[in-house]
Amino acid sequence: MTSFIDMGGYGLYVWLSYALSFAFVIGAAAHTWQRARKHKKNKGLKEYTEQT
Amino acid sequence: MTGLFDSLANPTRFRTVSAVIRPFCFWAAAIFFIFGLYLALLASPPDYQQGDAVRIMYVHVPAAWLGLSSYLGLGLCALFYVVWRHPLANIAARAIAPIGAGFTALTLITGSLWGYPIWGTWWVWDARLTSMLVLLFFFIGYIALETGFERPERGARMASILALVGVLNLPIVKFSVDWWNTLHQPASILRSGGMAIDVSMLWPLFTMFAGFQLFFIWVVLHRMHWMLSERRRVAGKARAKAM
Repeated sequence: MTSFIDMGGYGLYVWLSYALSFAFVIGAAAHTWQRARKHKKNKGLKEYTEQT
Repeated sequence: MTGLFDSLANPTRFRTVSAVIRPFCFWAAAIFFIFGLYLALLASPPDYQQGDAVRIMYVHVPAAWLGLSSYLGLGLCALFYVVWRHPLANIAARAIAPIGAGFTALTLITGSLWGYPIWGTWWVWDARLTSMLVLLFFFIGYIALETGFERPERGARMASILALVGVLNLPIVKFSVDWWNTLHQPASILRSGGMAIDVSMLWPLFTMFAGFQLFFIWVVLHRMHWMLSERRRVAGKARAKAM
């Protein structure tokens, strides 16, 4: 387990790369959902609510 | 191609088609990510020279491919908008730009994190790195122009022209490693003479790329969906005011 985390001495670089990549993916997804929810809440958007 | 574009360019039809595609893309991306992470972090072997640092490749290379392909998409949308003035093309470009910029920034950051332990430096002004940075500036320029005008149509037109100019940078990014001496390694996959990467590293790479690609499609379609709704709401308000 320790060797897996250590990644042959490159652990900091490897894990930081994956953390940043998936932080971006999760951040973009969260922002997209947040905006979609905001639009759903808008009463003027009946069509949007019907479709989603 | 034109027929397909014409049929999908209708906003109502687009929304119907995208509502079907989006859940598929989301769940497929999640599956590819889980499987890809397993392959990239556990199943694939370390490199004989770089050791485990090579695992950065499985996020760095897909991010770079997406940065480039999303800019190509942005350029095509800009072309459709400049030539045919189709509003859906502009909405697609607006949806693509920040996500493409994010993937390009991610390419530069993960590249630095890979470069430091292997090259001994975070950054060099070599042709590949510099042209990728220029690509990021084109994305930022597009976003700034698109949102920087009082009249949105004018901003969209200016931004589209800038996006078209930026397309010239794409072959420079791709062939920079062949045209100039660079610290960055030459192409390993899309090159004459076949792929120069072992299949044990190719599968994790393609699996992670599939995950990122499907995620990209999901986000862009979702963004286009609410941008269309927003546009319709604003148009409705303007019509109500006029009456």
